[in-house]
Amino acid sequence: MLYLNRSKFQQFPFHLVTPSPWPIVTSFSLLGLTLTLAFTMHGIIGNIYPLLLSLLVVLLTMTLWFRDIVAETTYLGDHTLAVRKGINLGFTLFVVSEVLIFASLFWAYFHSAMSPDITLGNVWPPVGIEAVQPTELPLLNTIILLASGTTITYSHHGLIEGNRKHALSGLTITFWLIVTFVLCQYIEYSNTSFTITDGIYGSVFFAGTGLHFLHMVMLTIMLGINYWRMRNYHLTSTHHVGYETTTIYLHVLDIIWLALYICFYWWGV
Amino acid sequence: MSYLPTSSEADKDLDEMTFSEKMVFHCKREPLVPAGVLMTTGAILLAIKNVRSGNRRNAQKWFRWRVGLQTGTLVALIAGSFFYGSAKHEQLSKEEQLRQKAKMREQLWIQELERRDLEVRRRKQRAEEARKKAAEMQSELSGLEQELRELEESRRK
Repeated sequence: MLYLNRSKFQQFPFHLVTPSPWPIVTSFSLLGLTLTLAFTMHGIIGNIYPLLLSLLVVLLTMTLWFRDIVAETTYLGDHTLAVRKGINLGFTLFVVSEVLIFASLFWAYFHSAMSPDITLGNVWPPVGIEAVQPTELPLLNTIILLASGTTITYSHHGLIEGNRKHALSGLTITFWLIVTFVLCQYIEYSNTSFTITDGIYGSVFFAGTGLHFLHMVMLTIMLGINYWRMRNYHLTSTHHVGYETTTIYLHVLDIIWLALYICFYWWGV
Repeated sequence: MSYLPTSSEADKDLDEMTFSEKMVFHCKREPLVPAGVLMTTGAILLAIKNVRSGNRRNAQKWFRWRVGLQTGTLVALIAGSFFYGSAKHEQLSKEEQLRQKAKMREQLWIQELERRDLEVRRRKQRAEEARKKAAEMQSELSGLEQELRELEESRRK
């Protein structure tokens, strides 16, 4: 290879990125979010504004962090193989922690469902609770998520084959499917006969499906950023870590939804 | 061995089962669904493994398997529900089901009341008959006593 050509590639696995303030800042903002959430839930904080503020701070620090990551990879070219491996490992650990938090919510659901005490009438769902019908909106939501899995795979195929048009259109469709899912969930939530505070059924139901809902909102942001980056030629067919992690995130959330659908909506009621 | 009732009794109504009995019952009746969920999870694990090692084509393959297996699971879930007719049952709203149940209970209660009424009437009738019989026997007895007295008087003369 010519020296001129060689200089365009990084052929060494060094860890080029410089120390960043954002991990520790994000950690503290997340701590703030956790504390405000817990205090609000237990009635120590009487209104929702501190929670919204903490959420805003988390979003802000994340925006700054991810802006730095995009700058490091796209404009500085610092994402060597070693850095990419680190990001991949970090993301895999994040997915594992996601699975664990959902496992704890499933545990809470099963704990209450398997031994409903006398105040619930010894039955699950508790006496007087009208569960959401699984064959209505939730079935549509399941099909929407499945379709989004198909279109993101189509987009991924387009990307690794170097077909920009397919990759972009697949991503667009996926984005709008997820937006539709979020809207359908919103409609379903605003039409339930129970709330998150009126009993254990509402609590575990909204904790489980609501956390998934929040993840879906996050996913729309991630897909939007990926679309913007792909449109601006940030992604190549061999280097697209952010895109790959978003894809995995979508697929894992999809499987979690399948389990939620079967346990919370269909067989459990 | 003597017959022991189990949690998977076929004639037990779904409404009467506890949550864990329902889950076990469904998993036994439609084993394709839990199997599908497990296989879907396996596919995504393989996809993640291939993304991490940088093998994009294999990752793409396993993403496809993920979508396919999940479609299969969903089809199995819906088909199972149609096949076993629980979907038809669910189409009646909860309120409608409760109303039907209440109507059935009312009907049963009316039948029970009618049965009790009939029993009371029969008992009264029997009592009436017994009373009549007793009166009859009383008159017969007094007739006999009269006869006896007359006989005794005729012997004294």
